[in-house]
Amino acid sequence: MLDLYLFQLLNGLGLGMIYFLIAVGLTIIFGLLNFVNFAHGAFFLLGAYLCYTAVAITGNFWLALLIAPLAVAALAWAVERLLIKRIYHLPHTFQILVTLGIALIIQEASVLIWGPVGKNIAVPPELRGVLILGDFIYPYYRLFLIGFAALIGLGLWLLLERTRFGALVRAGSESTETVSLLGTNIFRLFSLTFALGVGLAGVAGVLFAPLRGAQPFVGPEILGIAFVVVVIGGMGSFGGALVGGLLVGVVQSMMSSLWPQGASLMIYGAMAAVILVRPYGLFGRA
Amino acid sequence: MLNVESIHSYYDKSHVLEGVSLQVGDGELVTLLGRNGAGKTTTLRSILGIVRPRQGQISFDGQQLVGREIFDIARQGIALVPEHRGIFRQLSVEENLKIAVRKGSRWQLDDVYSMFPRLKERRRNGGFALSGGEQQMLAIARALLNGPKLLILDEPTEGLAPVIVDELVKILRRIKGEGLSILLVEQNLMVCDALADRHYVLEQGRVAYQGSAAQFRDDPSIKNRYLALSA
Ligand SMILES: Nc1ncnc2c1ncn2[C@@H]1O[C@H](COP(=O)(O)OP(=O)(O)O)[C@@H](O)[C@H]1O
Ligand SMILES: [Mg+2]
Repeated sequence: MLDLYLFQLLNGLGLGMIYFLIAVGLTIIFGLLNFVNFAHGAFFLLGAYLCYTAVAITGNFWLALLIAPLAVAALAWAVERLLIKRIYHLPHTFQILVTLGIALIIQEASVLIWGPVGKNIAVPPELRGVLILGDFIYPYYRLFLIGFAALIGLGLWLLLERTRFGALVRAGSESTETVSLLGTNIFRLFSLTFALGVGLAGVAGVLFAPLRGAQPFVGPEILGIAFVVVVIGGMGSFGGALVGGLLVGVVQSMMSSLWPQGASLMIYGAMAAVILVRPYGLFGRA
Repeated sequence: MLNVESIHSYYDKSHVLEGVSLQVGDGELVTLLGRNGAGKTTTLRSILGIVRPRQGQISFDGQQLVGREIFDIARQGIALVPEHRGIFRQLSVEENLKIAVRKGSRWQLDDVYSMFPRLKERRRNGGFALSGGEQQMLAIARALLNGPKLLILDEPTEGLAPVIVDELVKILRRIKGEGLSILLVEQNLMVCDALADRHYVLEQGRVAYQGSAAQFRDDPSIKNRYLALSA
């Protein structure tokens, strides 16, 4: 019985790290650009499908893990330059409307390209099988998932906290005008940050694919969860996305063995509880 | 080097600058004076492209500036130390400086650290932890790293203790001594008299007076007419 809980706890951590990757991208974009990206879940979906295609063509999951997120980021960069940069100055409601439109286009295009039924993506051969420790059994892929997502998170943290680019992103989240006054091309910074944030959703989509496959209608659900995580953790906070993501992942996973129907209820309940106690989220600033 | 020719700037429908003209020559320190609300900050914001003048021309080293992006104007060699200093609170002192470093600049990190030893001591502190004087020093140091040919300061002594003001005057004199052109908005007339070559006085969005430092010093009626008597 205890093993089952440990199993679900680990599952929850893996799921939580995926949620973290999605939410941290959303929150960085919001922090710098003050932009609400409702297409974030659709880019996640695209990551999963591009992984499927890349695996189908190359037969190599590792290559897919590299190519698919880059392709998602490149597309995001193009969409930013063509469309999104024109709507930063509009109220959030307009931004939601436009990005919701982008999400629908991506979703329907995915159905056209890959069909209405989901696609399965095999676990890479190196990670098939399970870890056996006495009575405890755990799939290698899920362990890899936790470790890899943690590595990406660490790399992202170093990027944001230790590089000039990261300092500019943090500075820009305080005042884009002052950053411009220092001669930084703020539009380029915006494009790169948008592509980075969306690329993280792409990474999450790829990592998720061998677990649940690529499903055409998963976007809105993922987007919903990402927003719950961001609200729990606090808008614009890296640490908040991590803690919020893990919290939601673990709660969801534990509930699935305790009371499956109540899983989403618990998540939204947790969000409501956090907002009541700390309106700006666990790590948020007013 | 800087030539502002009868610019008109607005906030929505409110007409704030009604044909402001001014010049700053090479190596000159020029002040822009005037009561609160006269349009001094708006003039600076117009030069840097934060507010776009609807009429008039601004040229700098032969380049037209009106209509360009803020970062592009800054790259031509104009640095603004803004009214509220614009220190990034979440960044450390050193990060605040490093994001401004430009290769060709006469001032590099070591130079500003030797000019402002206090900043070096506090380089690992967060921007939020600085006193008003330290913030002002940081804002000036950061502007210098950006490699300006023209340094623009918006009320740098505002809210600072007299000792710090004296220190600031020394620093500005030193920067001027290195040949940098400076446009200074300032309410403290002692500071202006100590530093300036020429003065402009703005009133309700127009230049009401301009004159050399000597003319300005010898004519108290100007101060009474156009400026608050607080100095
Ligand atoms: N962001 C703004 N929106 C609308 N009006 C403004 C804004 N900033 C300044 N003003 C108005 O423009 C006029 C000039 O302001 P400003 O340039 O800040 O004056 P100064 O710097 O000389 O005190 C004032 O009447 C002020 O109320
Ligand atoms: Mg002002």
